[in-house]
Amino acid sequence: MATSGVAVDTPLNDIEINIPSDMVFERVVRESALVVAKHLGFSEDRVADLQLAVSEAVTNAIEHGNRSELRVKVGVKFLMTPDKLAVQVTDKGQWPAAQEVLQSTPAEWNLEDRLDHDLTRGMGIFLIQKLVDNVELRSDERGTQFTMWFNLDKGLNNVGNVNIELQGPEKLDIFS
Amino acid sequence: MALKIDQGNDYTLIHIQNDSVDAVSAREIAAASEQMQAKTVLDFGSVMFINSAGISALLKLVIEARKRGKKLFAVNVTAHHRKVFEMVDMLRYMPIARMDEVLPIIQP
Repeated sequence: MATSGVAVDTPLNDIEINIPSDMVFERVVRESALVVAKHLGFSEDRVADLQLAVSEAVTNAIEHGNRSELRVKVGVKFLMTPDKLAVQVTDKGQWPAAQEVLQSTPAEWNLEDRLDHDLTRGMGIFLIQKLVDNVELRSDERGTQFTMWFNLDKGLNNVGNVNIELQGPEKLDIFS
Repeated sequence: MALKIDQGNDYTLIHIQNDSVDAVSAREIAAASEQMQAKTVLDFGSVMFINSAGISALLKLVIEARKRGKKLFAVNVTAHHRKVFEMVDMLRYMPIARMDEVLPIIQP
């Protein structure tokens, strides 16, 4: 996944939502993402990727950008072009070292180390980078704009991609 | 309530009843660590969505289980949630079991 800036093509269609900075309303955006993804024919797995990435970006905007100040809005735009879906999340916070944050996010997650230090938060950007095709973070005195791109040439709905089955692992010895 | 908790002599079965394991339901899930027994099974059968706030709550259970020598298992996990758990290496500490493997514990 690249993190360099990519211009959003002139969208064929766009949807804009503004929510108060309260985690209760994060779900509004997540449900909207579901509608958009199904409209675009995303596979079941790709729909879930989009919902999770959007949820993480909106959570960051509410908690870190707008400091959960209810009256300050988080803006979300879904921009649909023929080959991409872009999701732009904006808040009023500033992230001076924005690009460095993206570039310094580890490629692998060291859970052992985190458990040893009781660190359970801070995985949002890591997950986003695993789930989307491209991200860009811009921040200045006006606020922060975080954009995620989903290429439409993969993960579209077809029989091969749909997987709603509940999966279990190899047999476990849970009696030992 | 986000949780329904069944307990036996040495097991706890936690049914997560919310369809989202997120910031809103995280506190109640993390608090369930007080009720973990030797074997604790988390049932994700009703869960449609998990984000990092929810995973953080689950990690608090993992941390407590490790500290207290308890075993933690997950059942009824969707393919996507399994993928996300793999991304954050969660399955090393909370392996996914099949329900038929868990039933002998809770229905001896």
